Amino acid sequence: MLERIGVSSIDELTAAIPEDLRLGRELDLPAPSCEAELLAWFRSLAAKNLNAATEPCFLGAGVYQHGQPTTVDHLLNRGEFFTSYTPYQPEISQGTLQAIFEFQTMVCSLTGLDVSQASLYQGAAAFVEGLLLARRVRRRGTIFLVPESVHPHYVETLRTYLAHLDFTLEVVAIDPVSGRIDEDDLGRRLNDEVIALAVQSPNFYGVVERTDLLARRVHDAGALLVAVFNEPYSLGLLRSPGDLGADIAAGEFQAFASPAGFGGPHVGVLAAREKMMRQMPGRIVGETQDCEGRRGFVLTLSTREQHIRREKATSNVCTNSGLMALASTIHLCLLGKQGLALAADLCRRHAALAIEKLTALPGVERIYSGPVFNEFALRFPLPARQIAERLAERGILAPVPLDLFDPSRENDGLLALTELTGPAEIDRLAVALGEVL
Amino acid sequence: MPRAEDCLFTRDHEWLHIEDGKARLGITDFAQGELGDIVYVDLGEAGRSVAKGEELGTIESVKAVAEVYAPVAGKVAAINEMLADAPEKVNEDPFGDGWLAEVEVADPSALEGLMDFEAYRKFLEEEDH
Amino acid sequence: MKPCRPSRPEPLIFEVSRPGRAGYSLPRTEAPAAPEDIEPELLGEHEPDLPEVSEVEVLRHFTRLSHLNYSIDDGMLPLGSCTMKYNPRVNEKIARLPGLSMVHPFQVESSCQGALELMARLEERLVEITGMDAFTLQPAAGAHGELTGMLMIRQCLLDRGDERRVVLIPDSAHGTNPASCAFSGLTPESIASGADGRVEMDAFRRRVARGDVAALMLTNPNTLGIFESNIGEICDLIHEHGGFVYGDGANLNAMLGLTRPGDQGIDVIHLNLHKTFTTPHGGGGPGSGPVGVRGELSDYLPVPRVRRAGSRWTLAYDAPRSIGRVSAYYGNFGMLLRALAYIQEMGAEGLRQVGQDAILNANYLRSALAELFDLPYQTPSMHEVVLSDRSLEAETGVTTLDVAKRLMDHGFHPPTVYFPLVVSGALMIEPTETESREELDAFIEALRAIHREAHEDPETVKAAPWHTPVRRLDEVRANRRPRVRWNPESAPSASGGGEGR
Repeated sequence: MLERIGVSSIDELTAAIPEDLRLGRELDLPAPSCEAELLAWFRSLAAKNLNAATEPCFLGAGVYQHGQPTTVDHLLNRGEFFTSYTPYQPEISQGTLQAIFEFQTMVCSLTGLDVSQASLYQGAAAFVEGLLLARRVRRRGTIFLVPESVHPHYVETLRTYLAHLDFTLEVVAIDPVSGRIDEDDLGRRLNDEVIALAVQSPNFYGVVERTDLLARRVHDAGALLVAVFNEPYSLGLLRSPGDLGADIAAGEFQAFASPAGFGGPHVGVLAAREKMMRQMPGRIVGETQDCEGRRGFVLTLSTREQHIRREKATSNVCTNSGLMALASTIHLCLLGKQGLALAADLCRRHAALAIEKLTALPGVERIYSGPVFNEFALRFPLPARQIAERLAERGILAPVPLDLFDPSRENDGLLALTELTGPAEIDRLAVALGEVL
Repeated sequence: MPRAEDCLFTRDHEWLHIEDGKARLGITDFAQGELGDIVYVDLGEAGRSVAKGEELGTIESVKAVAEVYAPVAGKVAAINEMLADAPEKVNEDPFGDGWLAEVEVADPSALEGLMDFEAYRKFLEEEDH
Repeated sequence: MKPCRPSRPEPLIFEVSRPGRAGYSLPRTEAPAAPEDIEPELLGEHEPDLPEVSEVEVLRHFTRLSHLNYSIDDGMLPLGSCTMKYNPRVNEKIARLPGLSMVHPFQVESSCQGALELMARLEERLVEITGMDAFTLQPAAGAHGELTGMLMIRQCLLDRGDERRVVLIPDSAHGTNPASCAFSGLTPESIASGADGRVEMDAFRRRVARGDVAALMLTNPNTLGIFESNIGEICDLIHEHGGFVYGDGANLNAMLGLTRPGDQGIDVIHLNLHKTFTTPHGGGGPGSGPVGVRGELSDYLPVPRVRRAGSRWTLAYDAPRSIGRVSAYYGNFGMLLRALAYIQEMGAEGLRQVGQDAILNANYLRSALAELFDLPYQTPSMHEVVLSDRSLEAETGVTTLDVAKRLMDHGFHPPTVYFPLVVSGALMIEPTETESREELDAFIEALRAIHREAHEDPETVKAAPWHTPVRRLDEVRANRRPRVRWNPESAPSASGGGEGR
């Protein structure tokens, strides 16, 4: 090959690298492993982690470990899906494109909105993009209202993004009894400068919000409502954000797509009203025809995006979470209309049972009285972190200590239930918790 | 519908036709040809005032965005609502149904310096397109 | 191998839905019905509008859809600057170990020491490979990394009391660069490439001397596949005038084990793990865009950071100057695992070999293809080569787009086309180290055949592709009247699902 190129050594090809910038030594990395050694090393480290495959997991706080149909991962392992590129060449990417079109359709169905895009990095990114979308649509205003019941990581991410943009974030209080948004505090904060109110429902503490009433108040003030969700199984029970009056829905489909994965990759979803379509961030797939009249799909409305509009683009985002979007699409196909509703009902029953059993223990009480879907906050007589450590020693993953987010909440913790954590697991948790208290 | 011969032109390939102190404007046949199939036109809302040279809106083809600059200062009296559903009118009939907006010209002397039809024809030739 | 046209069109999954079908079984429960404490106004009146299909229908539907894709597993995917290389299967197996994939981000640290250690190990390896001081693994993609890096630069400047905002970006750069600047409150300013495809130094010196440059964003080797040989002086100039150099690590593949961004003077760099470190592209994502920094910028990295505390690993939040979080949790952990596995399997020599083979392959293509297409820059290529259709179009009317589409009929994925923008009709080809000489020869032969055909029968090339699952698609229609979701009323053939079933 060197001969065909017309050089005598590979070094001639890299002559453009100045001598003083050459590394001049081998990288200092551990000796390479063969495949068997590699697997052994990773297995040995994996063995140091508790995980939901072997331990009952009651952790949520934005990440939920539901059942994963075998078929999902089987299909995800097809090289045609996971080793393909972004579908910029539609003639040889119809598989990816049609799957995204189906994903977009399902996102619209579940959110009750008109348009969806092809997915974003994760829920926090969708949350940020959803609020920035609201600003582009409303064209005026400087304030985002974000209740303290939105996932704290989402809010921290938003603060980072807003650092050098001319917007302010105002925190809306929650009612300390119900755990729902404090409507009086909201009322005091609504004015013409408000772009949007974000409403997470079920909220970070698991409480279902009165999105319908909040939407009315926000709309009366000329602002938009951005619905946020990160437990999408709730959509099998609750009325969709669009039906409740949300203008934009931003959320997380991880629970459909993948196990917790220590935080990623997950899949952000964003849906909005029809008239907002050309302000959406990221990729969108649209239906069209080929020159012989066959139905086909393409990436469309690309002029919104960075590769064409550069610094004027609606977002800097390029990558989506395509494979995870595919996973959630396949999962939703398998669950189907009735399966999602049924699974949602199981989650809710299990949560109710867990509340009953756990609050029967001495010193354990519910913090908020508002209705919940599958997650709830408890106050313990001990630091929640200590309880989590002791339960981990007993092979149980629970709770999420709330002092991770607010140091003043030492004794508070969150627990989430799924269709997999039924009466037997709940009993085991209640017994173990009784022992460690 | 104005005849091209009766319009004034800018170096950004926009045309203006003055009638009753209002300037109807659009892009020229040459400009629409360069842009290719136009898929979306965004001109904002009528009623606002624009400065000369300010971005009036954008015209989009599949893979490009062209800005439309206000050739004169004034209030935007109307925008062509038809383009929302039929952006192809700009391709098919740039001086007719494909007009973009009407601006109430604040200062008629600002029209000096724009090219007439003949000057624009020469301008196109000189640009060697 | 190439995607084939199905003997019957694949319907949308909604079109094959039949009431009552389901593809998954759920557990039964002994738990009593939940209390009816949710207000009826908040409850859905009907089940969500999802398809009702059986497991085998789902399996077949998505298997058939997969046949319509071209992927790295089908053959060469020579997209310039996208670095589409083979995705080792062992990485997939590792990422799916339950002890890694089913770990929750809010487990107590004592129950996820293995996960934390793996993150720390990847950070160490990336530090060594790039010569940077520290890394954050949190950004979920390259553009996300750019934003993270630019936010750090902006904050660091502000802490110095410096309000400057201008970011110089070569005109050959990826569109995410200026977009990421805009979202960091910075102002992108394009700088022209010189005749050799590199930063034009005289103009650059004059521009930087004005003292208002916050940063330079530079891809090296740049998107023309050319190494910026003046990188040392470029970094010195920016630093002398109080700015930072942001390295877009999109093309790191060509530098592996040869030269390190940190040693060149780069202050911040993002890596695209799916490019250099073989994490799968997934048809558009998920990605992972770790960001490395040097010097004072280390204080600005997002939190949390993985640290060693005595005998255990911990997540540290004590970083008062940190820009904060850019994501929930700790980054795309699953992608991080795959990258670490790749580095561990390759080792130092292996990675150096990767860079060298990538360069060899690109130059092999260049030497053959320069006979067919114009070579806009005579400067030596590193890992990719950019060609132009100028002569071909003048001679035959066949454009880069036509060549790209015709390549599909020959069973290849086209290269990146019409990018970088500074080359008219650009064909940007990056074979990566994955391809054998035989595969490269087959690719060259395909382009030779297309070149010949362009002269003999240009109309056939212009109408390509002919043999793909669908032919050229009407993008104008898709943009003028966008249909971005299925609905039963507007389906072109609502009966489509019933055909042949």
